[in-house]
Amino acid sequence: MEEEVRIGVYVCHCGLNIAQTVDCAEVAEYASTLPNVVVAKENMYSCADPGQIQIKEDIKEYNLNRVVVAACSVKMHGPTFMNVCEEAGLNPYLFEMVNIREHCSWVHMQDKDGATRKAKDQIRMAVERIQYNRPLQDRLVPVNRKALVIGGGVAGLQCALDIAEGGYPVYLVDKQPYLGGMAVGMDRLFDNMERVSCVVNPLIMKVINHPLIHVYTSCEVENITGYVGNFHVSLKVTPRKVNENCNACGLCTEACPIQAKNEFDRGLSERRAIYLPHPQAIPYLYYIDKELCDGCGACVEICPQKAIELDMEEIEESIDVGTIVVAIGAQPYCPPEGNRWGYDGAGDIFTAPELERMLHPMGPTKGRPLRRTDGQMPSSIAFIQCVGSRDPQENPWCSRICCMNTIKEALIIKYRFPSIKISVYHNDIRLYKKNHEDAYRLARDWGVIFMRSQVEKVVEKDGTLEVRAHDAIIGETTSQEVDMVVLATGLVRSDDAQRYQDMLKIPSSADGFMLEAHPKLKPLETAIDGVMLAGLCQFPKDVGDAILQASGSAAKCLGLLSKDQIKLDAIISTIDQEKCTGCLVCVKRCPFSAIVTDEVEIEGKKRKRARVIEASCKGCGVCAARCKQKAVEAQGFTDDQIFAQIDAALEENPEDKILALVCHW
Amino acid sequence: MILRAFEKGAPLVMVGGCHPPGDCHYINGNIQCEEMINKLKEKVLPEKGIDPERLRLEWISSAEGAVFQKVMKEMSEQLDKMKKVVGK
Repeated sequence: MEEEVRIGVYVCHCGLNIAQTVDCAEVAEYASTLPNVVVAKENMYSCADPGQIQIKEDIKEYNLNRVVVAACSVKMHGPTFMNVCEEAGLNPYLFEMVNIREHCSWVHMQDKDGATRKAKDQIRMAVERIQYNRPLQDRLVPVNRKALVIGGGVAGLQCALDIAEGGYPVYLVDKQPYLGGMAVGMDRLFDNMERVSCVVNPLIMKVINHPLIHVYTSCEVENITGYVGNFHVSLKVTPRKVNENCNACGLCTEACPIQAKNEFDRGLSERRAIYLPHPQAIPYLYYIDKELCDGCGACVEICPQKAIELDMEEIEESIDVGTIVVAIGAQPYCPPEGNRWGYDGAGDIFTAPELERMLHPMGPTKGRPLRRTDGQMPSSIAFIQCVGSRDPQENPWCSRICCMNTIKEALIIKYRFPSIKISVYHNDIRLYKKNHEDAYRLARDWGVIFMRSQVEKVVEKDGTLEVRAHDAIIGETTSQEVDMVVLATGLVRSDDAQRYQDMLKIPSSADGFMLEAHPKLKPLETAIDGVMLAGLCQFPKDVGDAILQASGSAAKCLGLLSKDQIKLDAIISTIDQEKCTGCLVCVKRCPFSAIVTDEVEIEGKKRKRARVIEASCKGCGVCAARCKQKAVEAQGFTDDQIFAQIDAALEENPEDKILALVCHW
Repeated sequence: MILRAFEKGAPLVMVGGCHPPGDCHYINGNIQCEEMINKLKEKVLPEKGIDPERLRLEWISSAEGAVFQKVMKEMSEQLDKMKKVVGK
């Protein structure tokens, strides 16, 4: 005889996250009236020790054989409570989690009664479903002990290096034909004014020379499939069309007839179709822009090294890795047409990245800030802070780097050209790290004027720029004429972000940046097991913080890679060969070729029967949905379980409800 | 399961998965799902006298909270309209 089902239900307040919208006491009281519920309680924080201990004690005291926790997302604390059950001697699959936070209290904050009703419905669904839960066993799968790091900026470089230093092979992929990302476009770093090339180039060299790191430049990740420990990645390498014989003499560039804007210099200079990506590029090899090149062959003729191969072909490669770090960076905010600062990419209003290139000794103006209109040095420059940041209408976040960057650029200009007058219009100066205050003080000592003013408009007038602002201290509108305006533009998500997020199923936070698994507890991981974040793709940060996060993510990867095997859940299909009639629809339909055909003898005759290969099954349930004989069961998602949920959901007022069946993944 | 939901009185049913082709964790699970939903909409539901408009298939990945919100708002409006018709 089946043992009697004895359910414990725990309703979590999550502080006020749930309790301020859902009446948890009423919900727990209601839960105690549901069939087979032996005990129902509220917890302030179910996930904290007291909550966990309570569940463990109750399992023993009330002899519970099922546990339902109504709290946050199963993605967040499912494993916590499964572990609690296991420690109390209960099979972890005899546990169900109900998400009354993200699925209820957070989305129905304006409707307390409705939210409380919905929470009751959700718990009733779980209580009905859990009656049919059966104990299941986790599977062990081997880990492919290699890592993929996407993005070769400082974060990606440091991360790849740390993983390789830990002893595991790393593939490092960057879409650009050079390594170093956004940082290598800068001259110096705040606050000690170190040259970027002195910081980043040694890091790049360590990576390139590391025997365990395989670097791919001008390479895109085409697709990623698989799961933690076993990701399959397809790469596409765009042909450089210049081989390693290139000694960067530059004759080819002189011969090339095709001109284009140099995007590395933010359009402030020109380049040819064959070009050195930037003056200190690593690898130090020329590169052919295949979109522009018409194959005229002028470069091939002139190249003394015979380094140019116009017929070099695209390479497609597949690699298998156990863990992935996304470090694809972010991009500078570009003021849209008709912006109030008057930026149009033509006049003497510049963005911070444009000025950054001008201040680089190997940049388009060889380290001098020159006006676009007349090529002259300005006698005065106004910086405008928070352009594309801290604006509730557009980008509400603080981009965190712009205050530092402005003070750095102001100091560089003051050091080189002390006579240029510099003023900074800001909302607040946000400098919060070691030694930052010293640099700020130095800038003031050198005569940089900081004004807490909101810029209303920049107007061009006879070759000068009038900055009109509202001064927050004196409460009046001010006006100043300057020769050059620099917009301290913030950072926004990369144009590539969505593609990677779709590929890997990484959610975004409201600001569009990639969402970490938990802001406090799991700032490096994503909701997807085995996928970590590093650098600007997660949120704007300076080089130091990017490196810090990269090393942290590398440690997370090393933790995974140090194991031979990892546990995978037991959510897979099983086939009852007694019920199977050998139609083999499941074999045909299985997306993972995880079902094979057995020949079995039944009543003296040879028959075909389907069987699941457990290690290959991903638990999609396609087979279970297709099987007309109901011989296939998707464990953890059986018909009994789901029907019980549907029935419970529609038990009261079905006419008011929309039922959504959404993919478990 | 969809039929069970209609049988139990659900006015509207939504089925959600990630964007085809290729964006499915289960390779082509979403395409297989679409095939089965199409069959339901074209044949099974009309035979049972259920308006196929009451079933909606949407591709919404877990990275697209805003799309889910939009679809739910639309379905909620659809439900309000249906109720008005029944009310008359």
